[in-house]
Amino acid sequence: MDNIVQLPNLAFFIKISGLILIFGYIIFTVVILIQTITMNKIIHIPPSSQVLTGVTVINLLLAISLFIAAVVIL
Amino acid sequence: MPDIFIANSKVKTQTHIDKKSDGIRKINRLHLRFTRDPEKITFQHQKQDEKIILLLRRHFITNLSWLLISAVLIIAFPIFISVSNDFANLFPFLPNGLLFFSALFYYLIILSYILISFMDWFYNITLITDRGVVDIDYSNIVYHDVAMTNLNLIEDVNYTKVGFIRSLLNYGDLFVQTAGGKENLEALAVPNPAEAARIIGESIGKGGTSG
Repeated sequence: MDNIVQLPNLAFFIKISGLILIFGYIIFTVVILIQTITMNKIIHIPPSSQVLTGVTVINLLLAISLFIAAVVIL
Repeated sequence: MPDIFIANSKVKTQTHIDKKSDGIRKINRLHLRFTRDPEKITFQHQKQDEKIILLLRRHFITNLSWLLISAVLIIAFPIFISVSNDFANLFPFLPNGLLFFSALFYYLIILSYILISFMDWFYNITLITDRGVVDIDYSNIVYHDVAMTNLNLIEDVNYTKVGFIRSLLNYGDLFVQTAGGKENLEALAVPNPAEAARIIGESIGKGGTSG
């Protein structure tokens, strides 16, 4: 058990897994943004539609920032 | 005998009504409930002179479940950290700052969950126009379906309001049956279904051929 924990590449493995997970999340947020834009074309309800698009963009930017920060810091 | 003071009271009453209607208008702008003659809303394939009579959306109370889940998830993480204050010592082999990134990632996932749940409510809309009915279904971010029917193709409108909560808060399911092989439209858990059914019922047969 100790050997498994003390493996030198375990931390690296966790870092890579985390990065893959965050990258998958970025793709997911892109899908949310595309869907929001598509739905706003189908039905436009001002000002809520713009606010919702803004929030999805912020969500995407936060996900990208998290990925970059994770690459640098982790 | 001239009435000097009546004019003032009329002005005050008018101001009071204006303030009240301003407040109602602000609430209506969010379209949280039964919205008659919504302003500035447009939809795809809307005709130049087509006017939206009614906007129907699920009652806001139907959002209670995901709002509660989100609230619990938001407060769960700090509680978990405060309870297991030796979290970092338990796993010394973990990279520095992993807990911090886990927390950020966790809250981003909650934000996405809130967004998706809100969009699920926000984009599930039934519009009644002076030409027809537009039913927009949206779920799980990857599925959306837009169905339109002309008022002259509507055969019957009915609604159901079953259960204590639905009776108390006055919301229920509205069903629009169309002629021929066209699919029937439904608006689930909409506020004031009786009034919506009455409005559609009164419009049946009045619509043009386009829509």
